[in-house]
Amino acid sequence: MTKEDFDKAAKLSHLSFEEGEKESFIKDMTDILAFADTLCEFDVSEHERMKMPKTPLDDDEKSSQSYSELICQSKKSDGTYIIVPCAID
Amino acid sequence: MKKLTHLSVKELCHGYSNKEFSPSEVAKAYLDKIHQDDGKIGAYITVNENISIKEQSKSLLFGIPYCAKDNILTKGLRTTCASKMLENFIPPYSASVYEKLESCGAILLGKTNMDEFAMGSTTENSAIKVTKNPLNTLYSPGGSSGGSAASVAGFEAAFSLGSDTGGSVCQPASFCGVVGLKPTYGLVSRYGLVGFAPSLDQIGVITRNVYDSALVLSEIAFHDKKDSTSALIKEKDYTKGIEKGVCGLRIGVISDFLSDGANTEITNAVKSAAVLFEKLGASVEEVSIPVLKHACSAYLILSSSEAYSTLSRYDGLRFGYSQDTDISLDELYTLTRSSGFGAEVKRRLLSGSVFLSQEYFEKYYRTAERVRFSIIDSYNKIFEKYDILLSPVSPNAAGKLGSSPKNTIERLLGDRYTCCANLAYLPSMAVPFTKTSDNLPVGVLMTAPKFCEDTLLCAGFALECENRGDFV
Repeated sequence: MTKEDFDKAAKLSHLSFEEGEKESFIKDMTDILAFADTLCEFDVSEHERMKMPKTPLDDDEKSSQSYSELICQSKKSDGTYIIVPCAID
Repeated sequence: MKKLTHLSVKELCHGYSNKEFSPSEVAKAYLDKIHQDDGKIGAYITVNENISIKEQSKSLLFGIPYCAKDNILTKGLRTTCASKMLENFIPPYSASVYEKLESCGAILLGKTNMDEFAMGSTTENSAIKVTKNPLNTLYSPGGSSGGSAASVAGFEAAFSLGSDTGGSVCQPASFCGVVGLKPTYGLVSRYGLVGFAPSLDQIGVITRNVYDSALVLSEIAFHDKKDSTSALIKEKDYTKGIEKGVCGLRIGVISDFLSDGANTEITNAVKSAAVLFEKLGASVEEVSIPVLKHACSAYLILSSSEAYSTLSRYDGLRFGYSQDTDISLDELYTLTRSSGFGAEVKRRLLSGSVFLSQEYFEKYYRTAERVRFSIIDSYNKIFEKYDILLSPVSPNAAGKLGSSPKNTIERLLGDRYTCCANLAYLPSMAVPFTKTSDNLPVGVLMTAPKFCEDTLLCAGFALECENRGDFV
């Protein structure tokens, strides 16, 4: 695994690493990918990719919950709106 | 006379019905034992000091003290997953399994140590503490349910609950000389089990003997509508017929696992178990399942990919550890996860991000999926001819603490026998069989078709009765 590939994987995972520890993780990731590559020796042509079921379960139509029921179920509300933690300033 | 803490679940039931002792006496005996010895073993993360004895119930588990792996949610009682990320997390709801055991009147003694988020095989990845093998405290109890296995082997609980994604119940049970049962996927509710890889995870049972496993399974195996993967099964008594023996049972010994570099003492144990089964009237043959050679790499890809998704919820916003500083949302996510997770968890997340990335999704994830189907097909064909498959649990017995291989793949290959059952949704059980020349326990692993736990328990019971080894 290259350093660029590692940095991309780290960004996707929402992880950051000190420069010192990157080398050890890059080595681990290289070993992991090499091991994963052994799977390519196996002939999968007989096995189809996973498909969605042809006949999904019948839709069971139910009426929506009322606005007041939804407000009551929320963790925190002011009676009119659901209150959520402020995440962005 | 046996100490109260040394009685099996069955013996405790008899004692209660004959009024030889009471649940509060037994619970006190266990708590005293934990306070006295757990400092040396380190099985428990949280001890439940607020035990209350419920009203008498008809369940055979009434008054039976147990512990649960610390990834099983217990409302009001800290659940950490042995991670800094959930160090002070108090769950607002309980796992269905815990609620069921509460309704039975079983007594929760506490929550046990584990590898962080169930990722590991020695319990040394815990961010909280190290657990030692009660049989020899220089050695690891295995993992990731190491605390659960150590608590039962160290007489700090009559039984324990663990979770098994790739061997995390069976392997530590084998390392600690106790019985570990991983049920069929869907037999035991996963509602309230903190996820690692949802298509592989299953709550399992660790006990000192096979009969006790059957007793506990009878209570925790039920259909749970809160778990969308819960099997539509009727509850049953798994102790019925457990003593019928193995005469006529068709047993296949997986030959591929006897010639892939496992320790000789381990492979000899499996061969001796096969001979014992033959002596008891089973027909035993060697069988080869070549695709199982690829099970470990498929397991690595699928479990890491699922973990990448499952652990994305730990973002420092809604619950758990958070880097509470004046930073952007993206920095909050990254700093929280980087300081909240340990190294092994990070490795799995990084792997998962690669396996699921657009560039590599077809090459890795889709291929692993298809290998999984091939494994399932192979097992289905094999189980037309055999009732039980026999194999080693692990290529080696317990290792010394701190001596885990530095190489990630070598560590992962320790799961190569146990992960097969998880990939194929099958039940498996580790039963202690012998000891190594270093006096460490060695178990044998039995795998059965889906929902054939009674066959598994019957075979395990027969093996245990005939073998009569002294493991704990």
